[in-house]
Amino acid sequence: MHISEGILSWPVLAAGAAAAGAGTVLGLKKLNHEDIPKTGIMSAAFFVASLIHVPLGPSNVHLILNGLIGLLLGWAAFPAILVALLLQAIFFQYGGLTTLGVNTVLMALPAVLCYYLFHPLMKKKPGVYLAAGFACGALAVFSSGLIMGAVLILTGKHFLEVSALVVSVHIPVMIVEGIVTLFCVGFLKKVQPVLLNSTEERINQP
Amino acid sequence: MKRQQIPLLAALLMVLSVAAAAQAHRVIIFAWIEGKTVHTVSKFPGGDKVVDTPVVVYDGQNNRLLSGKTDEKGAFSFTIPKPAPLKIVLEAGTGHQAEWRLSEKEVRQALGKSGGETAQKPASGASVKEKVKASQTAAPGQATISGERAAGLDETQIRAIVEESLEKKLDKKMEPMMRMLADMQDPGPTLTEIFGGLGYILGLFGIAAYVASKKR
Repeated sequence: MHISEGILSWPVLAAGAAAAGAGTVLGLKKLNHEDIPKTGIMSAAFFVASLIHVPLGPSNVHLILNGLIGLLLGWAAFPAILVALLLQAIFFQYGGLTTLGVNTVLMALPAVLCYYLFHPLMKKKPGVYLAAGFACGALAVFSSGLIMGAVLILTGKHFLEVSALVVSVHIPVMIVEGIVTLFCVGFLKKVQPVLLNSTEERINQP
Repeated sequence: MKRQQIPLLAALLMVLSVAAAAQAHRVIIFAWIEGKTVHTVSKFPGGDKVVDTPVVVYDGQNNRLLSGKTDEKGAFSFTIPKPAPLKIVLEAGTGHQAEWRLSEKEVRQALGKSGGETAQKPASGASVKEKVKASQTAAPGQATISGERAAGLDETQIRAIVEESLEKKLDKKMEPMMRMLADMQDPGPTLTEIFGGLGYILGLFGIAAYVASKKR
């Protein structure tokens, strides 16, 4: 899910960097100091997740976890993912420094989208929140794929060809990611349900 | 609920294993010159080969010179199209791309050594070629080129012959080493890097927590 250097034109890169910067500022503004450790841990989880390979036939896929990160962090997903991507670019040469902004938007924007869509469902019945967990993981990857398709199209490739390829490549990832997110939500609900509440809810709770 | 999900997950993974998805965070291409041929090997970090993927070669001015596809070993070879710096780009699709550059010097050197032979031929005529052939047929088995044959050649010609055969021999001997080098390029993230990165993340968020606690 990382776009390499030397593919995108500079206006796309600049737009990506600007959007990532805005998202990060917003994320940091909204970040309650109690949520800082949680953000750090999710950032570390994201950093390591792409090293875990799930073998799929001749190739393998790696986890992205942006759905889960969005569900737990909301807008703080932007700084969390930006930091993790920066370190991945420096240490592993995944993506690159020039594509850092685009890659951050690529993975953090779906995370925020998932927060708004699925976070309210976390207070519902087990059947609902587990299903929401799966949908959250899958949708985050799917929308990342869509954004990637859109970004690649802006560099002048054919629309259908690119979108179809990007989405079809990510279908297995979507399903695996959905299952992983489902189990994570189930586990958190049992062990540490507070993590799934936002700060306002925690303050309002007696 | 969870017990029921585990066989479901296993079944899903088995179904999925049929689907061939090329998904990685990064691709690598490695190229080297052998004689007048450029060999390339393309792979993912960790060593999996990049199969059936377009490789495009550009010159210094970004003119497309030629293109091809990697075989089942991730390899693609082509003869040097012209004496210019070469940019070899692996286009792995879905946002993945890698390149390897060969400098003009490297390319000219490679062409020069085969070009030198053609430059000499017209100058000294067919006799040199014959003598070369003679000395080459005589050489195997014998430790030294016989005195009379060698005496028929002057020093520069002998030097040219020796250099040429040496280069050929060296290319052959170097080939397995170059392949090994290609395989060793980027073995994937090491533990040191992974833990280094994790340390950075914890440190950064530690600083953030410190700043936040000061503000309060």
